[in-house]
Amino acid sequence: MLKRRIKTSDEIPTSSMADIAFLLLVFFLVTTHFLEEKGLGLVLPEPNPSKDQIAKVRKSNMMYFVVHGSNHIVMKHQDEERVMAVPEIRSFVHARLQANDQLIVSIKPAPDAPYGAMIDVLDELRAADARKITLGQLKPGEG
Amino acid sequence: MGTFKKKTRVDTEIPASSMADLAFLLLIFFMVSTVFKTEQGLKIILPEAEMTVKIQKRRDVRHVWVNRAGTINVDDLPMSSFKMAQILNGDLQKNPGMIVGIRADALAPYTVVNDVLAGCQLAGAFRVQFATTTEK
Repeated sequence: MLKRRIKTSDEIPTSSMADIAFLLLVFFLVTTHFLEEKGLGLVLPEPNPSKDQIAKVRKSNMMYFVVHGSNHIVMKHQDEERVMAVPEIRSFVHARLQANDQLIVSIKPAPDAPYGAMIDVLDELRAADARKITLGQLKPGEG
Repeated sequence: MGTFKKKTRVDTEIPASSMADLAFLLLIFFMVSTVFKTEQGLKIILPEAEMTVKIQKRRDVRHVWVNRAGTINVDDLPMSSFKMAQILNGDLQKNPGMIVGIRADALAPYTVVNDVLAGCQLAGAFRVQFATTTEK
């Protein structure tokens, strides 16, 4: 009786290699997500300004936002003083900037205020297109 | 006089055998060029902001982390704002285009962020960025 010889190939099939490699490639392309840097940029002033660098600003051109928390923001402008909610700030500041383009808006967070509350105000000022912004912690006894 | 013309056969198929090499080349390229985050960072919840913008020069950003309790961390090491200023100043010498990315928790007390900003000023790193997530 004749035995039929079964031929077995001992090579790795190379034709499917491309498919495997592409599969891996697509997998990594889909799963890789790049770390994005997102946020609100700010340029700080120099720490110790000389005398001629200090500009005198009229009181009528200053507007303060004293921040104690997201739900406790006090706006101060000359003799005006009122508690404001975060969404109100944008239209308010925008209107005041229309009336006076020299207006400087100062954010004064209390030392124990949450950082997020300051960002809320800063965000609103950005949205209101306020360019002159100062940022400084509320000093004890102030506000 | 008749001559025999040799028929030239042009292969119309794309060579499939080199496809694997091509794919592996791409794979290796992406594996090499992908940069993974080297620092662990802190568990923080960033504040949300509507005006969030993307910073183009990702490689220039130096992170300063502030957690909810108000601890300042640079390169996964807790430190004072003065030590942070020293480190930032050293890094600024190497890369003058450095941007300090402040990644602070939304509930961190503001006084710590104030210290960080003062430290940045001291270090001469005037370009800072408050890391935020896009508001939904």
